Amino acid sequence: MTSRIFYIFILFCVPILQIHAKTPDKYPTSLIHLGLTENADVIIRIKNTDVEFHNNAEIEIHETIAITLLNDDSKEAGAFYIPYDAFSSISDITGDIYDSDGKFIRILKKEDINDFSAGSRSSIFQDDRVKRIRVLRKSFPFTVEFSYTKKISEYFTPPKWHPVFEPRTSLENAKLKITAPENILVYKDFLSGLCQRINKDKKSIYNWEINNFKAVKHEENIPNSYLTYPFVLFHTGEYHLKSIKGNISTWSDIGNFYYNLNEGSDLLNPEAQKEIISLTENSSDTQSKVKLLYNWMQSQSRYVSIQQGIGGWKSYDADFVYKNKFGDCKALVNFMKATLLAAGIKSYPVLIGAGEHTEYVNTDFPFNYFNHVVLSVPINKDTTWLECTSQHQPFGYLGSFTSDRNGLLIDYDKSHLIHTPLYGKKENKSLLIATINISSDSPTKCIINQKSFGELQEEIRDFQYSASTKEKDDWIHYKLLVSDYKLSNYKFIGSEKDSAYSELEIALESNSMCVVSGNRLFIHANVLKDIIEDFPVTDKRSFPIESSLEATLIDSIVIHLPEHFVPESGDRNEKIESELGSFEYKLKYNAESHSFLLLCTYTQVKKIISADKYPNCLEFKNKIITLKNKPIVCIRQ
Amino acid sequence: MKKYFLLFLTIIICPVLKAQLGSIPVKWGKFSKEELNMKNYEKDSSASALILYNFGTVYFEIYNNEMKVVYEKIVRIKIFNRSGFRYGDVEIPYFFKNSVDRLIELKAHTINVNSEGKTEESIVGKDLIFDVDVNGNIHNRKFTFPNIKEGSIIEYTYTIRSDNFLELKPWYFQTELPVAWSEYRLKIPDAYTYYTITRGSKKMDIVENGNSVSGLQYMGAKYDNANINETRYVMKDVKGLSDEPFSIHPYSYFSSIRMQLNHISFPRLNKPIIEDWDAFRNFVIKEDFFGNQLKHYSFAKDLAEQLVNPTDPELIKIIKIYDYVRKNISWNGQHYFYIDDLKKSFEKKSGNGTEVNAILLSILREAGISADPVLICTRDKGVMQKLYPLISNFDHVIVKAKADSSVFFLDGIDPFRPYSLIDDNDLDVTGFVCEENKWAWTTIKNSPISRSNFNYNCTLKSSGEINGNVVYQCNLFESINAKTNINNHETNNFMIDLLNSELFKIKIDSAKVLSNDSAGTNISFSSNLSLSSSTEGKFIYVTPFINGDLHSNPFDNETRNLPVEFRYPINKTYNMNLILPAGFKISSLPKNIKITLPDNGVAFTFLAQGENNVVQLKSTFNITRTKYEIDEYDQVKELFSNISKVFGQQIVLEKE
Repeated sequence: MTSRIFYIFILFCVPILQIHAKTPDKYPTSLIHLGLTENADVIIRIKNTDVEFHNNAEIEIHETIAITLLNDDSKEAGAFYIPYDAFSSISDITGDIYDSDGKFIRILKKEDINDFSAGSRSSIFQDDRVKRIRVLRKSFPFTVEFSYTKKISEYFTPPKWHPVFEPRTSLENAKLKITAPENILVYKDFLSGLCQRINKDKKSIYNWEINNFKAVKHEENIPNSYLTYPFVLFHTGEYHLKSIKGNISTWSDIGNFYYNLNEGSDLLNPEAQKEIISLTENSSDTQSKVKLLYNWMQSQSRYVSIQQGIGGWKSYDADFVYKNKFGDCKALVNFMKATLLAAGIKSYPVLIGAGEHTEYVNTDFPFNYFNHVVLSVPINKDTTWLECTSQHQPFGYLGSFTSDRNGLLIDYDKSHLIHTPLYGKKENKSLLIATINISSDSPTKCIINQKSFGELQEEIRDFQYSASTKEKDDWIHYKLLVSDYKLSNYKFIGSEKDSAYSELEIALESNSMCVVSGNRLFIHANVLKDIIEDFPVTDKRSFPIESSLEATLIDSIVIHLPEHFVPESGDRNEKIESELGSFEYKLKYNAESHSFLLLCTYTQVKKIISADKYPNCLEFKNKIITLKNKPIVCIRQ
Repeated sequence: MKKYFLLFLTIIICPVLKAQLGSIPVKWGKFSKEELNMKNYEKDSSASALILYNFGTVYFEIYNNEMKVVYEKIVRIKIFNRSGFRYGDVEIPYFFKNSVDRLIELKAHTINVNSEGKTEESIVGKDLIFDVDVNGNIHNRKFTFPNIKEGSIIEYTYTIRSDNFLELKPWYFQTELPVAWSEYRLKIPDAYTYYTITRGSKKMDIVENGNSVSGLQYMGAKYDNANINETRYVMKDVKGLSDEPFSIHPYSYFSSIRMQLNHISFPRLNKPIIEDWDAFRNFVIKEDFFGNQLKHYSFAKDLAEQLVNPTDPELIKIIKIYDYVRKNISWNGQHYFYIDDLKKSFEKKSGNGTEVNAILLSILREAGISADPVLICTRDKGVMQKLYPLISNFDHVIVKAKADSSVFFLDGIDPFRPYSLIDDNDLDVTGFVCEENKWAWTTIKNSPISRSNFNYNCTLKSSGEINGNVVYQCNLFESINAKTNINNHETNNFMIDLLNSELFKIKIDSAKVLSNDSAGTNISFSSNLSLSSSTEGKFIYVTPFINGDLHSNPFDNETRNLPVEFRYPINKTYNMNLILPAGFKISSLPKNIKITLPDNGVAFTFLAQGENNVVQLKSTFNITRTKYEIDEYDQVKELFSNISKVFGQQIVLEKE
């Protein structure tokens, strides 16, 4: 019994003794600059990162971090994630928790640290893992201080240093120290402080420091969000993998890395080669061969995310995809490349940063900025671009996730940056034609036909080809702005396999589109949601806003009136303009056919708009929405 | 058809006794012509895939000198089109910790018919089957089928050998996909009596019983020639169920079967396990995962001393302790009827719902308050069944506390909810109260009606511009929403979201919180607003912009598969005074309207009146009944359809 009591006593005392041995108060919140708490849920009090490149090419990272969580919303931002994989290890995670006065509360416990697969749900398998440090407490503020060691044995590029990378997070002080063999480190920094460098004992030591980085508010559509936060990219000019090692100083080096890693995986078995040759027997020119084989590849494959190996860079063999009919982006690009090769056509993978907004690629600092790969096929003097992960993408069309940005074309010793095509207002179009038939004794009938081109057809095409009936139904309901209706039918028609074009037709009946009230008839002719609605609505903005799509939309709506009703006012013609584009509203009554013609033309530009112009743009969007929603009024004769 | 989704709770007793069950409906790798050539599912042509067979068998086996429960399963799916390809990605969860479950003999293959009409098999390679650690306890076995085309059949089979005898793995006859044939076979030794509970709207198509003989082992003793009771449950053509607006997760409505160990009887051992509610109470009150952890803790004693004065009235004591827990113990977002280690939870200041409330209970008891745990099944999880004490039916524990003669139900998981209000997920549920030496049923009563009040005072200019202000007040559940929201957003953005709709865009300025009753639920806001209405010739048309949240009918589907469930009773009122510009007179106003459901459970009114230079709009929206069955769907849909028409009208003003 005595021993047990003693044991409990020890348990309770250890932390207390520990704290009294340390400095009594740590990170009291009273010492935080007031400016840093503005817009912040989380304050990084210190972040000391110590990176050492050992002579044996191993990288060792020691990091000490103290995070103050100010309120209940800090739960996610206050969590800290340490990624690792088969080629790196994490050790010595220790830490303490302090209250707002800086008084020690307790040490960091096993329960505060979770270890799980980094794979997303959409991924079948991913072999990288993550440790999460998250302390759940309800009495705010409090501070979590912890440190850990990470050792990386094999790598392509060292990890980026991004001391703060979240909105609503302030940074009080961060230091980065890199120790490397003399004069080999190259870096790109983007922060206010300068790099201090000293050479000592055949080593170079580099130091950066940032103080008082103020939290930014969460805002949507920030251009190049990468540049909103400080960062340092660095490497020693070399990559180290068990099987391969080499340079990464130039774009060509990075290209060679990818080339070497995947060399030989683009050879298909003889049987497959025969099949491919027989497929293209009857086509004479390269263009039609490529098209035929692209469509064949699409029919043969399915995108499945499997991330394995060095940062997920090595692709499955072409034969694997041929046999199993699935693969991730690398495997599918490699399979397409092998297919073209079998037909005697040369093609090149292009690494790319995919996403709706253009990802940051610093052309002067070769680095791994990429997360996706597409295929480029030179035909005569043109380039045909192939996105290989989609089974319904039109031939030669890249799409909004990869267009208009720098990618790295992989060609042995000749890899270089290349800019992907831009889709502009000529390509991105929508033409909506609707007929609204109003009768005095039955529900209003409405038929809508929408033809979409370029980036504007992507969503429709996705629903057409890969959604279930229920998902299609739900999407149609979401798109329709009519407040109450009965859907007669809808169909996706005429969308061609080889051009970025699709067509949607909807027929419906509604009692709420046209409402008679007293002597008046109110007609609501705004039927379908479109990109005009896609604009972040917020109070004030501090960052510029990126409009990432150039497009033209034309709505042409004919409204047949019932007998005895005539327009209450005359025709209408309005035009509004802003930085973002222009909008024209034309309403014309035709007495002969007893109908209205409503013509709306909207154009939008692709550009970055400064924050001070944001209110004007919002005003512009609101005016358009008000105009489009404005009922057309008729009066009983 | 009324009460379509009532639970069917039955003990399944042998209807026909015969020695052998009907033949096994599906053999691995053997496919009929119909299966191979099937183009769509006749009973639901919209299905992107069909589960042809979901076939499972449970039996008991001696393995390495230990008794195990063995589950064998074959799943065969027909893929009709590309949107069905997603069913080619498979995830099989199993209980990994302490090797409770061992997943073995997993095989999977894709079958295609080639252009010559021959079948081709593509096998999932062993190197492409992955094991993913989900959270330490649960692992997922994951793989994807190769060679999937429109028309493919995919099939997989596996065996799980388990140590868990208490609860057999449940069988879901219904899924998101339609199922042509779902069958569960149980081969359970005489010595084990399991209680069976079926759930869902559909009746079994086949129930058969039979018997056989096998060897058994229990507590080291071997029993040869033990009698095995065999049962077979079959459902055919079960329709797919998926999410609908204003419904709880369809999972709670899936037709399913669950089994829990009731009794063990061997020659020298006759032991009831959980036979009735008394036994259930005695079981959970002793178990490590629950009752054993509801004891005296020094942390609870210390807190009770710190938080309350011995002279405080009982209700004050309850409020102080409840407030401490809701503000200091974080709920991790999960509902499990499970306590891992209450002292650890307290030190970490976080836990699942049961752990949070167990901490609350401990402190209350230390403060001398009469308090008992109430075991419930939350609304999101489904419905409590009283017929048999199924442990897995429970997913949460709340607290029943007595102050003088009044009883309070407390659920401390939400920092913004005062003691007087229960979580909306606990509303109207049946609870099992574990008292000292006895137990009782209770119903967590409906709360008073939550209110939301909008008062607009606006002025219209002759240009069509409208300027003014709005005061928004709310309480109870409506305020929890508001209180949680203003914590996450800035007040202006909260008001922007609250007041706008697809129909009109209101600009918000200088939004602020007027009052926030932190002990109760009342909160109020005010803000300036502006918007433009349209002018044409001598007319101004103003959209009634007060209750845009009701302008569109959320029930856009013609048919319904799940009951309609509103979260809580509500009373919303909207009032607007609109001062007209000089020189304009009212030409017409929207029609006054009153719409209710036949039972008055949902009601809407809209009233517009003009006097001198002011237009007054008054609207109310009430929900008093929160649940409507499927056969009442048409009424609900029609009500919302009629409401939406109001918003098609305008206030029309004419220049004099």
